[in-house]
Amino acid sequence: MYQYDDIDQKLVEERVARFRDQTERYLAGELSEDDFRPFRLQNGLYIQRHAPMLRVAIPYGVLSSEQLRRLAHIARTYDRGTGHFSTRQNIQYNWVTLKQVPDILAELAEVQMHATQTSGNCVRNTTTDHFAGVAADERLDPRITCELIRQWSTGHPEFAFLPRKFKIAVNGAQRDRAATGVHDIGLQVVQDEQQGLGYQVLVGGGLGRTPMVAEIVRDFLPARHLLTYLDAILRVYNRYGRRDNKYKARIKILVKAMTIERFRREVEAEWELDRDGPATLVDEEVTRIAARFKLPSYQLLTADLPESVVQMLGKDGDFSHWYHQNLHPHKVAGYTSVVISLKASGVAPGDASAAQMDAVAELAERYGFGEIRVSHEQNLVLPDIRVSDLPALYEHLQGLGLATPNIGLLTNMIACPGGDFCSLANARSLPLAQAIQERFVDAERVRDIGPLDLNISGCMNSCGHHHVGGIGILGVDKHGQEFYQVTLGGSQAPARIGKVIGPSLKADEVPVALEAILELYREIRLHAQESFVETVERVGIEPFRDVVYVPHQVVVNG
Amino acid sequence: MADMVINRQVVPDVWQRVSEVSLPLPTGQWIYLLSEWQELAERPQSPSGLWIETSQDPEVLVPHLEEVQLIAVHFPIFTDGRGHSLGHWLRKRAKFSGELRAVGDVFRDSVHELERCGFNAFVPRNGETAANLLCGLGIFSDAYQASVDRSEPLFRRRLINSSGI
Repeated sequence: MYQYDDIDQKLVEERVARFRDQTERYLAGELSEDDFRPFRLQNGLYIQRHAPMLRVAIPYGVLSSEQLRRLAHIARTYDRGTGHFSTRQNIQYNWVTLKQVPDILAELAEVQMHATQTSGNCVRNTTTDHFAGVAADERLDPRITCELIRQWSTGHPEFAFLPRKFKIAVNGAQRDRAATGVHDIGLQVVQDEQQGLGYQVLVGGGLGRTPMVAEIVRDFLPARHLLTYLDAILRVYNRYGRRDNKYKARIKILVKAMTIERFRREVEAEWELDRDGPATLVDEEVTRIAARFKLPSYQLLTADLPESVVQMLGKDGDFSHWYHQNLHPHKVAGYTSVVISLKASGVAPGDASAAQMDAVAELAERYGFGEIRVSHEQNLVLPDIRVSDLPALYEHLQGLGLATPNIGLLTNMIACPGGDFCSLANARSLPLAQAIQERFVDAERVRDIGPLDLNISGCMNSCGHHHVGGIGILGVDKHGQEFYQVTLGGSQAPARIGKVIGPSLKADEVPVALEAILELYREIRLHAQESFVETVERVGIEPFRDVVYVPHQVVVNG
Repeated sequence: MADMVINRQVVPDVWQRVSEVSLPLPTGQWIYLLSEWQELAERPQSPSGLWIETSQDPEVLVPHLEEVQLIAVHFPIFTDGRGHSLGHWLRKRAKFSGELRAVGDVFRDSVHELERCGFNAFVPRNGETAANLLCGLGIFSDAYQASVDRSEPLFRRRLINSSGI
């Protein structure tokens, strides 16, 4: 993680002091609800169904073991012993009290954390690849870009009150694991032969009720112009974005209304005025930030599979499934990244108990370099594990209930907290996720179905990213009753929005429908390597629609 | 005259809006809507100001910036961030150096960001006091970004400090 210097530390403490003062005045009746709301949101606090929900930023998903322990401590002390890792690499606490939030923020500041701009109409926490800095297919470590953006966006005075929330994602690897195509701004790191390092800049992607795939606003932006170019985009958006209708206020609507060509002209004209100005990056700053990331001191290891692992693979089927499903190739020989699934059956996706957080922190120290990542698929990652340590690590994880071998598979589903917690939701997500887990309890069948993103959102705000799931499920409200709309063929990279298969279903019909869809897929796929999404692309959604709506066991509710 | 804040000092507000009195104007310092200003037969001798809404394009002011000593930006609600970009535009693009005042929904918790965007004068909304506005200013010792109040981002100052200059 990036280690704060004195100025970073002072700024986060001053932020806590400001919010403490505002909270006290609100509780004393000196600050009205309407005046307090934007500040409460910009410090991560929502008013929810049961209690306020606090969303704590995990900048670009990187945590130290000390920070994870602090998150566990907060869960234990101020919540009911659980934290919920969100699809934006943040953590949410569902049972805090407003009065204690300033104290929680102060505890976070002690370990260089905060809840700054995790909500509200401002630039939110920047997200990236959860294997940043360690992935074998990486072109450039995106964490430095993310930290530059974190500093630029934190307390940016001109963009404190945008028309709507604003999300930026950065990807530095060949495969886009940051879903840059569905963010307000997506940055793809590219290496240009003549101009060196830079970014392809995407703009206007997003999910929500009007899902759109981002368009390219600039094909190549030299890296040093990052911040001035972001200023230019935000300035055009802040000035022209709609403020009369919150459903039409995101930048995607502006880009669509202006057309990308005109939007680009506006941005370039604005940028021209600040280009090469004081906010142009200098190499020394990039080097300074890079140096503040404590880089692991890897051992020189052979790429050969250690004998102990070979033996385990031969005799232990469960280990073997986990080994093949939950690891990700590392850039350094003899190391691997291990994904810890927070999607065990019977647990709300993304939930971790305080005890589990403490235990993962301990494992990160014992087997790694004390670092943990949070993925937007709501899992944890131990980024730097020696392959030779896998059998021992696996045993620990199994004991903690954290060795579910389902990464990339159907049961690794994404789900927002839904109507059980969230006051925006139209429908509950968690019981549905649970019912699907139960329906697909046969791990062999799930493995046979193969790679599949199943994403569940409790409402149009799309926190569960249902639009980009191979199978997406959206909770809708019909005359006060919960229904679920099913989409097929979505993908986060390349970004593609799934198609609705037909009228929405009742909760108990969804698992049956999924089973019918996936059995058909197993029947008609060309070969075992053709993924579900590839099959949908090849045959269209019609055959799947027919198996859901034609058979009599599923009653269609139009 | 009600109190307001100019350059972090509580002072009486000596300006009045033209729209609020009947003509002919008595002597004093007046703030005009752009339409009122354009209708004047001749420019007044006394200092004058212009009023603009956050929804307006600031470029309409350009021909008149050298004729006036003050621009008042009206915030119908403090979360109307267009006014923040407007402040930045007037200072950085149009190089306006007179008094830039925020009026409308202005209170203790809204002035910090405005000051960083180039506003140097604040008229408290009904129920708010000028003294209370002062409590909302100067609450951060530093800032990451370049803005109107700091022309260089923090990383340039860090650079100077680390090289010992």
